[in-house]
Amino acid sequence: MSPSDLPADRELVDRARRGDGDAFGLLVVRHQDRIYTAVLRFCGDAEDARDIVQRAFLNAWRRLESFKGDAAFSTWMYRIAFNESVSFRREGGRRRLAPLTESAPEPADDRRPGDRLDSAEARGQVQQALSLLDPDERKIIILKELDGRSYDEIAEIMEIPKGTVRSRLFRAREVLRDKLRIILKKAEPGSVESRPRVGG
Amino acid sequence: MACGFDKGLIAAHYDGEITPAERLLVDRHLATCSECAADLSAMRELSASLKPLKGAAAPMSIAEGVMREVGSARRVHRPWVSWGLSAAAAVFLAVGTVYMLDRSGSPGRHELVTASERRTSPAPSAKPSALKEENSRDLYQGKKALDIPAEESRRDALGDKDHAEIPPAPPSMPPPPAADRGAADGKPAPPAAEPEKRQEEGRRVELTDKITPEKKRDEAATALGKDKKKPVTPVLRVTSADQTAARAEVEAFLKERKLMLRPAGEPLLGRSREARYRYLQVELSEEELKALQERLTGLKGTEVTAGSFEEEKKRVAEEEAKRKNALGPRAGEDDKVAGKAESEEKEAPKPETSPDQGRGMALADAPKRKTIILVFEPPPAKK
Repeated sequence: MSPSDLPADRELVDRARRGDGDAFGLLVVRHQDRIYTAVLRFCGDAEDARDIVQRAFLNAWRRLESFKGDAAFSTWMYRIAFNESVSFRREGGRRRLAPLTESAPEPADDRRPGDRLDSAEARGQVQQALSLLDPDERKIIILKELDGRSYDEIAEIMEIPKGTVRSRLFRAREVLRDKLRIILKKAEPGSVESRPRVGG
Repeated sequence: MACGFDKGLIAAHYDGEITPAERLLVDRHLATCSECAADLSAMRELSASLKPLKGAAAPMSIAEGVMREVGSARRVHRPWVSWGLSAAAAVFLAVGTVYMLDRSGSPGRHELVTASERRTSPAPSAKPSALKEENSRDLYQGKKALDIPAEESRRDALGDKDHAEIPPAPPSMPPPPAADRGAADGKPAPPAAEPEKRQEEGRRVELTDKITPEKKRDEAATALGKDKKKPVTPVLRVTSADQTAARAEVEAFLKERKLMLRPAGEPLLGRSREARYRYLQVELSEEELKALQERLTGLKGTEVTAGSFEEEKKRVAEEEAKRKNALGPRAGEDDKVAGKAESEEKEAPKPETSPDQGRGMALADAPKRKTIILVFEPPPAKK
């Protein structure tokens, strides 16, 4: 079976434009995991991410007529979702800070409970470092490192030249590495921050 | 001292987004510059650190919420379409009612449930062409669907096999306007003089037919290879190490038959954090169901098992109990997240007790396809 056997996004978009809600439903099911992952990592909160992604897909449904088709549906959706994330935060969102150990559902695994907790802690630390980047840095890291988008796609989603993707990505990685190093250092057992306070 | 080399090229080299000429240039530089070599190595480490953030699964409530709104928006923004289609459905169903009542002299019997017993779900629209097609189709006369989710029964009521215009049934949608409600009930909006007569609580019109509910259950049970005596709600579990391939195979199968895969309308089996199943629904005939099973079974590393909602719910509950035992006192922390989903689960209607189960009109003109819930899941991890 080749990918060409599947109904193309473009075909589904055309059907959705004609009022076929099922076609749009298929687009949602097809893209929701990737969009949700991107938004979850962008905003750092599972409930906010759920609301944002839902709003983004509804926006897409309402604005299907404006989708010109010169870019992929997924590219268009990322743009809507990131814009929605920014608006959501600007409106106040749920007024929560990104949690240290985020609460999104994660793939089930069969490791020992202790290992799972370690993994959740590590995930929380990386998420925290990611949350300290500026929005454009966060976006580019998410698109490249988590979603494996090509430079061309990133350029389209972020509406920047391809050459800028290169330099910005290098810079974002460097900043993230520094933030992560600081967080991990603080979490080390012997570090000042991790030492329990004695007395008052 | 900082190296003045274009760091963007180092990033592009790492990401494989580089021309052969640039690669040569970067490789030469890396051979002599320890700083840039360290940058490259740091990028690899960073990618490894970010791995745990990959691949979160979207909660199904997203698709459900979107589809609910999409359904409402269609009705609000295109009222003329909705009215036209409702009217077409009304005419079709009126003809169906007369036909059914005409058959009341034949032996055997089943029950036609009055409007008051049916769920007041939002009015789905139906394509007139689809209705015509369904009316002429009689291949499945006498063979009807069984304990299937509420979604199908609404479709049955319309006799719409394509469902292209029907949004999924949200559990908490407000009742639609009277005209739509009539269509949703599988009947034209009754004239003012008739409602009391029709909506009298508990009233049933008995029709004679050779089909009994037990017989219908047996047919579905046979289709799924299960015990004939046991009521079955069709659930197909697709266990595969490669979820993407399994889904793609299902999509390809459906495309060949011009069928649509939809998000399952309601959290029928619960959506606790650990029970990360993916529920999708599709309408299939018995032959199509068998063909899909065969096709998926032929897929490497994929196993397909048929079951019922009750079995599925029981399994989820057992796994949840095991998980809690394994986590011990820390389990409570995870449950903070799962709590909401679990409370939603309690509110979710059980398919066996859905008010739509008594869909009388549907029994006479049900389409040949039945709603099947597909559950996608990875194989159990090795101990």
